[in-house]
Amino acid sequence: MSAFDAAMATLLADPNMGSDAEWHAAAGGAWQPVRVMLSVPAELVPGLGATSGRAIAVQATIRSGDLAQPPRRGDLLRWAATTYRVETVEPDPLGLTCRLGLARTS
Amino acid sequence: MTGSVPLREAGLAAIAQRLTSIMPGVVLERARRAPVDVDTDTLPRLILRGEEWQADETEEPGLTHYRLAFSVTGFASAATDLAAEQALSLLHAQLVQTLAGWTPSTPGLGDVAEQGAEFSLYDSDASAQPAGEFLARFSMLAIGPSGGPWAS
Repeated sequence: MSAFDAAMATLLADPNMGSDAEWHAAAGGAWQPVRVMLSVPAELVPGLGATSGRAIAVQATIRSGDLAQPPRRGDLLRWAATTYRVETVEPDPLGLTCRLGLARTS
Repeated sequence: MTGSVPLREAGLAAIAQRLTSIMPGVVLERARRAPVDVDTDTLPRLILRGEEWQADETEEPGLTHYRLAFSVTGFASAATDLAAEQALSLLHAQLVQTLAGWTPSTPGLGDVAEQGAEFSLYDSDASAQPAGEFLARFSMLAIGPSGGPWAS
């Protein structure tokens, strides 16, 4: 494990930074426990007219090594009784983590 | 000639009243400047805003024919991406049905004409909730004495 990977593992394990979640690959299989770092920024969406929209984007950072296979669009992530569908996957340049853009499924 | 209610305000107020009475399940706001929060604001929601005001003095002697342009922005959300787009289409169709071709009873106000619309489904990296908006443009005929754009 590299220093950067160890640093990410420490951050994810920190109870103030990381959260327990469950992962389910779109390809199938059982739910798998994972640690994630969540962010819910409020995004201002450029509007078509003078009145724009504001929405909550939900993003999760996850260690790539914690998953049996690379995350993909359509995978599911569940925490706090809410299930999210993975819409976007952005790996970091070192391939250690992925930032996932999530959409609520209900 | 002077008055107390500008023709433009009379037109926009009549439109708002029409929308409120025909579409009771939809929240209507006039002239909102703050962004609509699709996570916390009640949806579906319509925002009515007055736009351009064009005058034509060549139609009738002593009278000016105004063209009041206005826009209605509609916001909707749903459980899935497809359902959000369908909700936008439904809200837009209800809006057009309510306004296009309608003539207010207020003296001086004429037909409403549909001009067109743009639609936008929010990207997933901006909104975890499937949601979007449309911007529908309309125009209304308003007629008043030249130099006196008053409804009353």
